[in-house]
Amino acid sequence: MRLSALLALASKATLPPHYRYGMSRPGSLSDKRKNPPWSRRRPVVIEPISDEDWHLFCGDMVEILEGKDAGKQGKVAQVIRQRNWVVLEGLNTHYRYVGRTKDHRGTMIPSEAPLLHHQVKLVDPMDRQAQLPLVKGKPTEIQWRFTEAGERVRVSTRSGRIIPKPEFPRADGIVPETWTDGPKDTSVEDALERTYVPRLKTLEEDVMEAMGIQETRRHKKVYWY
Amino acid sequence: GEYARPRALHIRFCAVEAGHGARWRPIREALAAEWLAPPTAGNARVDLVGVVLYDSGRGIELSSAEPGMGFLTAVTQGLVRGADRMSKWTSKRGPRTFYKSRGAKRTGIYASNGKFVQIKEMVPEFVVPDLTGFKLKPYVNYRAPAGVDTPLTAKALFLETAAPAIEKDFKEGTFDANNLEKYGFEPTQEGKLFQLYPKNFPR
Repeated sequence: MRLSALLALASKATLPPHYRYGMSRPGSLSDKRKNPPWSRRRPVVIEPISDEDWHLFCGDMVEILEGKDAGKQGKVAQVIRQRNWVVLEGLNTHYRYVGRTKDHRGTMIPSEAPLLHHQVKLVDPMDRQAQLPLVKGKPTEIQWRFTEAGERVRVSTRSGRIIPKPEFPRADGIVPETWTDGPKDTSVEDALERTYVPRLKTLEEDVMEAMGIQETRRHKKVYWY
Repeated sequence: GEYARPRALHIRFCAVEAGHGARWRPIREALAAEWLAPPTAGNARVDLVGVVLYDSGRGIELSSAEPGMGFLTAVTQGLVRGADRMSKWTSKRGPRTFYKSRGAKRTGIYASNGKFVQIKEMVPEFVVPDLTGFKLKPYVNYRAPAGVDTPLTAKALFLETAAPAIEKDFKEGTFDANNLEKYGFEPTQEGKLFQLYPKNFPR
């Protein structure tokens, strides 16, 4: 392998063929410590689930079926599709120390362990009223169906209710509802305004007409075979 | 003569610690340290100087890299000799008599006396309209929903441009199948500046 190829590899971060995805983001320091470029671990068996069949999203309320916190319900904080993992916030935790220095043992924090997609189940949404305490929903199997409007939604098989896709804050922290336009932003009305009038002219002819360019010369006739 | 037994040519991967004489460290340890925390200018204790080819038959070092060379450069230099045959051959390489263009189109022709005559029509010109009062900007508000317009098809274009006039004339009874030019029909592309078939514009 030559130097140019090595430099090309260094610019685009490709992962090794049997790279094992973990809880750390690929490319972070902890991931580099765990999976150095020469590591060759046995590949894990992952059930292949297509993007259409996957039904767990960030922000969903799910119930854990097995494990230490079996029976508890929690919100999905992170989904790692490469391992079919779901991380719930505050549940299925073990404890570890962070911020360790030479003399100080660090602070103990609970860190969540991932759960496989078949170890959790989506919860049937129940009507919540302000006066009554929150009613716990029941776990249910999900089917992907189409509404009359043509939208693809998750439908609970037990009750037939639609489980909408939950709201989850964007990773960059932007809240679209409270976004104010900057000097280089087109407003919503200007972006949705339809100003195109279809005409039987090519773009070039339209531009010539609009700019008032006159061209009376024509190309010489050319033949090819 | 006698067939010479091939000598074992070992490549000893070592790392030299700068400032402490020649102390060799196992490469795995040195690579791990370099990988996790690339040495900064001030407090670097490990300095990967280079790779040394060690010939076990003669017991001497064949090549050694100079300090200041990167580790990867030293590795490739030590393993493979010769020029980089896989990199692109560009106009920046070769002797000064070597000419290679980077793909720019000619903007004129060479006349019979050898001089280059530039032709104005071959020089690209940007036609930019006046943008005062133009409301669209480079970025769009996050609240704007995805558009619902589909790409324009030929049928949709016809239905929006020529069909209303044809329908109106047909209902009045003045539709003439031999006089379709008034609805925009072009029987031939001769005489047009921008011909559709064969297409004589690059877009």
